[in-house]
Amino acid sequence: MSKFMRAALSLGTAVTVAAAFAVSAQPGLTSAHSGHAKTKIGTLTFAGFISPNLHLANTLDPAQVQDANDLGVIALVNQEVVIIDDTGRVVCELCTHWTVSPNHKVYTFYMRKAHFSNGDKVTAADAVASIREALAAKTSSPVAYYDQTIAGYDNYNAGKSSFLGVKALSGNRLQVTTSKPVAYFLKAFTYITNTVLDQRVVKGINRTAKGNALTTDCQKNVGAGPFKFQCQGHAFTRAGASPRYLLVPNPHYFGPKPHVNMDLLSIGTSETAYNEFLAGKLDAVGLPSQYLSRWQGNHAVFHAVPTSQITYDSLNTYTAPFNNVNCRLAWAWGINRNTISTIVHHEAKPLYTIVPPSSAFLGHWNGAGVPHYNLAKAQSYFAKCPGGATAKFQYDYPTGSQDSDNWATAEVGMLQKVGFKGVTPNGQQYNDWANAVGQPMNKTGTIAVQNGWIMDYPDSQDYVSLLFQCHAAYDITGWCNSRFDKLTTEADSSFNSKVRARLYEQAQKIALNSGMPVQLENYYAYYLRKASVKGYTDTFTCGGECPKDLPNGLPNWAGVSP
Amino acid sequence: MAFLSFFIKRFIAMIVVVWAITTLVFFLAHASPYDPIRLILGQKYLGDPRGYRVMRHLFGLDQSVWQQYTNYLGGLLHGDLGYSEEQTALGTPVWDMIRSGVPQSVKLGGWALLVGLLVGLPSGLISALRQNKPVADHANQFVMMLMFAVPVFVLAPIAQLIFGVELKWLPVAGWGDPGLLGVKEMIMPVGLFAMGIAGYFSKSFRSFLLEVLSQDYIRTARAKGLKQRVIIYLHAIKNTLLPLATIIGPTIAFLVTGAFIIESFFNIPGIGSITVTAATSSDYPVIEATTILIAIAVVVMNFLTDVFYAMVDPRVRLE
Repeated sequence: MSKFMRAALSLGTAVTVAAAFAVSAQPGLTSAHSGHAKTKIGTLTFAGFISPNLHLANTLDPAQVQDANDLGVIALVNQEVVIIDDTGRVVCELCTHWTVSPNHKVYTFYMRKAHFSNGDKVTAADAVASIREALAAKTSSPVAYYDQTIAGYDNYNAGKSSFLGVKALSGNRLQVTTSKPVAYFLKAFTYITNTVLDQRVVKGINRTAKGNALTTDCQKNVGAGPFKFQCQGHAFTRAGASPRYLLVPNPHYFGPKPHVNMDLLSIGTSETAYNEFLAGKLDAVGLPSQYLSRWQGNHAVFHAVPTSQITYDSLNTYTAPFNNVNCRLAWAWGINRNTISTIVHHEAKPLYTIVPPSSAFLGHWNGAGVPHYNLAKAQSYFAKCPGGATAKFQYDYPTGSQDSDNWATAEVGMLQKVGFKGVTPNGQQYNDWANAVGQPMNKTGTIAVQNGWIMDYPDSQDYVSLLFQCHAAYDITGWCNSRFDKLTTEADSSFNSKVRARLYEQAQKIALNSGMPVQLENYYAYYLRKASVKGYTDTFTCGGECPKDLPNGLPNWAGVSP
Repeated sequence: MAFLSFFIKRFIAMIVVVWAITTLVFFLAHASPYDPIRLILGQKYLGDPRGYRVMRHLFGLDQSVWQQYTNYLGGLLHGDLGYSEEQTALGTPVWDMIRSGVPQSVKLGGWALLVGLLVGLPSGLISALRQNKPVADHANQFVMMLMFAVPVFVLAPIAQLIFGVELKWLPVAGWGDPGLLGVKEMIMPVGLFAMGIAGYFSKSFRSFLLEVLSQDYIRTARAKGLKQRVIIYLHAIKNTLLPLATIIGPTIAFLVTGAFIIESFFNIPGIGSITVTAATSSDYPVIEATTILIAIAVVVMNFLTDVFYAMVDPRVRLE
């Protein structure tokens, strides 16, 4: 998943709509299986992109991915060595199995017999070349750093060395060496950066963000995934028509082949998408929150999926009043998360832990022993908060909807009840808010800001260590705790899942009981999907709705039917 | 000869105007406190400052603003408008965006203008000729005012619900499909866009015509015993063409930049939404390109309006 909050907050449910597939019977379309008798098949049509300027994916290059929408399309056409299954496990995609050295630093992947959609064979050399190209300095990939645990990454990515710990031992054996034992390496390695591309097609083409050939030239976009693009010459969409990607089954896909085409539309507004669903053109759609109550009882059509998006408040510990733990705890105990959830029509649910509730995460517990709403407790902490009553400051939040404004107003009201009389809500346009959460708070002078996060991969390290360790790049508040750091560092390199879970839980309790961060909500995605669509499931790990998994953890595309 | 001299002068003036606007917009855009690469990267900026620097270099944003300006002008002279720096179109050649978007916006706007004129002018004519009649003037102008005043973001979803969802007469959205479907897709967006244009032209044409009908030469024509039809079509309407041209020209010029809301609601791959998105995301190359486009369109339409003026009113001289 991307960590770009624009995607998360401005597109809302649209981000996860990318995974919402629906069937729209479009008679007359035929499968593109070469060498076989043409059979009429249905077409899955969904709102792949909600974009006012009707853009499709930002990029179709796995090395340039910006958000979950990009990811959704790329994953339909391409394959990686390993992926995450419905339950959060790492499973083989282009490999059959892997082995790990006793020191937990060398991973050997045994590649399966697979082919790209043009018939070229997938080899370990393709995987090596793909990863090297994605991490190369000249590619300037914004998602290269997911592989920063691979040996030699820093110098290779900076263009200072040609060494990278990735090599082909033979035609089907891929070896990846990490710089140190990293417990979450396999999960990070599932990130789309490591997509395997056909080197006979992509060699030498422009892979930078500027005029990227994989995004602009349909003919160059060849993958080993279950689908392939139906090109219009070199374009993806017919000139002058509403933007869309039409995907047809890849005849060379190694897994159970899909029996449907995929029609991914770009739609200008969520209102239009909803109306298109009502008119029967789309069979699945992200549900705008204002219609939630109308559909919630309709279990055949309505689907709710927890997402990895969390929202929390960041308080500036560089200066008063929040350099005092009592002031932070007064804030943390003074917020009624249930009220906020009601205000946003239950699009978000109360969250008390740092990692969201999912079996995919080690170290999630029920939130006992950390701040919940308790006004009396909040006021008792406030009594020990020097300068809290007189401090005048703003609570910055990203404005843009009535819900977000109502949320901030309600939260400020709760804080004033606690005693923070000088706090006022400050709705910011995206650009200003991005500046506020994109720099250390001592630089911007921000005192309190609503912040958020979306997982990169389903591992607690991605929330706990990455966000809150001392001097962590993403910790804008300046909070630092050596005990927290010790626990998380140990957890990040522990290969015993029970030990890891315990360490992450302890670390979270330390942070939360220091009022860092003040956890608020965990977002949900709501979909409408025609009851007639079969073969889909609602999962946290794929960001919404996906085909049900086969026993080996791979998506069962053959089971999807109109 | 006079026309040639006029044309050359105007052509030079057009280049100067376009250059001046381009320069102004370039420096205004770059004076914005927002950093497009920072906005693209979001929180990623914090985790990967090296990636941020590389991206800035890739798009030439690490150069001095003067260097960027000379690079931009140099590219412009070679037909290179640069690459989009907006998140959802990052790295797309701006020329490709303009080339694919403008024809669709012009198609939408052209049809809307035609329908708007066909509805608005007769409505204004009837209203002026039947001034103060309850139906022909008051009710007519009330409807036209409503069409002009009700925002399209209110009308669009209502129209989609009625004609697309409930009655199923028309597709909810879509553009450019072949055959009858393509025609049906055009009806709602063109109709909604035309409503505003028709309302505007009806009100304007009515007031132009009433102004002309109160002139002495119309009274003289009536005194001469000319038929009403001759007075209206030969004397009155001909004399409304001049003021009418002054509002049609700019209307056409702005059609090339599209209709933001209608394009978004009906999935029309035009340029309106691209223009607005660029302005709100500090996408300098697209802002500059669309500004040049508008400047050229306005200058050209003003030029054509002047020529038209001279043709319909001999008192106006091109000099």
